[in-house]
Amino acid sequence: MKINPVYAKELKLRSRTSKFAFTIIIYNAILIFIALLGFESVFNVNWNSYIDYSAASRIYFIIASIEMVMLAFMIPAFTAGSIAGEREKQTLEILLTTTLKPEQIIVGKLMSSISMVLLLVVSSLPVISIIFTIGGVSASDLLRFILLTFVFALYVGSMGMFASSVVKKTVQATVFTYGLGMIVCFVTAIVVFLTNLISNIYYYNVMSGTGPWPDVTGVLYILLINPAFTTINMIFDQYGAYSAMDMLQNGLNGKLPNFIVEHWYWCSIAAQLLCTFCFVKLAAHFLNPLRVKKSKKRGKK
Amino acid sequence: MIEIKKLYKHYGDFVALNNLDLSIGKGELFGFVGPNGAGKTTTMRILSGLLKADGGEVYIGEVNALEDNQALKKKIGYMPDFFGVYDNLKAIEYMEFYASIYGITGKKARKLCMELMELVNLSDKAEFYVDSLSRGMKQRLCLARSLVHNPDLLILDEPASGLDPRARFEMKGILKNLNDMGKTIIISSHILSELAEMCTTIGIIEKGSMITKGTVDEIMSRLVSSNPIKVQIIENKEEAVKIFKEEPLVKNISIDGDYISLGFTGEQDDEAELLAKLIRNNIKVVSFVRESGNLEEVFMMITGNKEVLN
Repeated sequence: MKINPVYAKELKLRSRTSKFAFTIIIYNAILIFIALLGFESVFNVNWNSYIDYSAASRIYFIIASIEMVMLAFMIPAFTAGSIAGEREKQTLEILLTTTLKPEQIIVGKLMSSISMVLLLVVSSLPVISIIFTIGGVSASDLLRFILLTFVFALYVGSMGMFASSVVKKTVQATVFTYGLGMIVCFVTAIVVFLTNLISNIYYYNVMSGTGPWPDVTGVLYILLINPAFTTINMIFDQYGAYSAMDMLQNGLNGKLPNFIVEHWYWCSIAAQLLCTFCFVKLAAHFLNPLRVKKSKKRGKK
Repeated sequence: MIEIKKLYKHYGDFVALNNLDLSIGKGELFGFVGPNGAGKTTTMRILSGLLKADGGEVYIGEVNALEDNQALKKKIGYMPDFFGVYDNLKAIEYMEFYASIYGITGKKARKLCMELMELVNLSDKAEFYVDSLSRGMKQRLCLARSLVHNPDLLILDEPASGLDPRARFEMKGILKNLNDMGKTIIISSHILSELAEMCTTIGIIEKGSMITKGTVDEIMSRLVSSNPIKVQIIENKEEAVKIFKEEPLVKNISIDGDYISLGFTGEQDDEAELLAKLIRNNIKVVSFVRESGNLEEVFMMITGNKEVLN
C-alpha cells in the first residue's frame, strides 16, 4: 500500500520535535492530576465518613470531559498551521508543482495531525482506565468514547485544514479554526435555545397560552453536527442518571423519530464525518492554485 | 518543445501578459530576461501550473498545459525564486520525500537521490540537515529535487539570485551540464549578462510582450545599427558639426571634448560616405567607430525603446 508522502513526511518531522513529547507529558499530567484529585475526594475517608462508589463514574465523566476540552484546544493548534505554515515557509509552492493533488496534501496533513491526537488519546488510556479498578463504566463505553474522540479530532482537524487553506497566516488560521469550533458548538446550541424561546413567545402571545405547545423539536437536528452535545449526551447515557436528549425534547415540546434518538451517537458521527468530508473538499478547493477566483474573473480587455 | 500563443493574464486592471507568443525548441537553454514586473514570473508560474491564464494556449510537447495540469506536472521541474526548506529533514530525506511523491521509494529512491546530489555536487552533504546548508547549497538541492522525476523541461525562476559569485559559477556549470544532457531549460533573470554566458537563446520581455528573441549575437547585431557613432576630430570641429547637421541620417549630436557622438541611422555604406565627406572637407578625423555597447546597455536600450528592433 502506498503511504501518502505528505503524511509520512509530516510524521517524521513531528516526531523529531521535542514539542510533541512535551505536549504528551503535559496532557497526561493534567489528566492524572484530575483523576487523582477525583479519587482522593471520593475515597479519602478522612474527608468523608462514607465511600460513595457510584461517584467513581463521575470521575470518568470528569476525565472524559476534560480530555475532550483539551483536545478541542489542541487540535486547532495542530492543524491550523499545516498549510499556512507551508505557505509561510515558502514550501507550499514547490509542493503544488508536483503531481500531488490538493486533496492528497490536505489528507496527508490532516491524518498526520490526527495520528498525533490518537497518540495522545492512546497515551491517556491508562489514566482513563483507572475507572476500571472500581467499575461503573464498561469497555464498550470506553471504546465509544475513543471512537467519538477520533471523529471529533477529524472534524475539528478538517476545520483547521480548511482555515489553513483559506487564511494565509498561521495565527489567523488558528483563530479562524477556534471561531469555526465555537460556531459549531455554541451557535448551534444558541439556535436551539432561541427556537425554544421564540416558540414560548409564540405560544403565549399568538396562541394566547391555549392549545398544544408548538412542536419545534426539528431544530434538534442541528445538534447532530455539534460534537460537544453528542459527547455530553453519550456521557449522560453512560452515566445513566439523565438523558440530555429527553431533557431537550421535553423543553421543545415534541419528539424526534425514535431511530434518531436511539442512534443519536451514530447519526452524529455520520453527520460529523459528512462535515469533515465537506471541509476537506473545501480546503482542497482553496489550496488549488488554478481554482477560479470569482472576484478576479474579469473579461479580457 | 514549448509553444506559447497569445498568452494573456491580468491582475485586476494590470495586464501582466499581453498576448505573449513564444516558441522554445527541445534542448534549448532559454534565458528569459526582462525588468521587474515585465511578466517573467507570471509566465513561469503559468508554465508550472501555479497560475491560471486568462487566455491563450500553452503546449509543452503534446501536453496542453492549460488543460491537463497533471500531465504538465510530470513534464516539468520547477524551482521558484524564493523557496523554503523543511526544518528537521536531512538533505537526503528531503530528496526522498519528493521522490516518494512520484512513486519512487526505498533503495531505488536512495540510489536516484544520491545520483542527483552527486550531479549538483552535494553528495557529501546528504546527511546534513537542510536548514544547515548555505543558500547556494539549498539552491542546488532544490535543483536536484526538481530533477527527481526526470522531467523534460526545467523551469528555473532566477536560480542565481542571492548567490555569491562562486555559487553562481557553480550553478552555471550545473545548468550547462544539464543542458548537455538534453534537458530543455528556461531560466529567468533581470540581468542579461548573467544569462548571455550560458543560454543558447534569449528572449526579452517587457510589459507582458516578447520584444525580441534569438541568440545573444543575433540580438546584438539587430541592435548594433542603432548604436551611436563616435568620431574623434582634432581640427575643424565646427566645420564637422556643420556637416553633421546637414546630414539627414544624423539624428542627434553630442560633443565631449575631441569626441562627437552621432545618432546615425544609416547603413555601413552611408557611414563610409559620411567619413569620406569629412575627409574631403579637410577635417582631421582620428577615429570613426560605431559603438558596440555592452549587454546591459543593450538591455536598457531594448526595454526602454523597443521600436529600435522593429
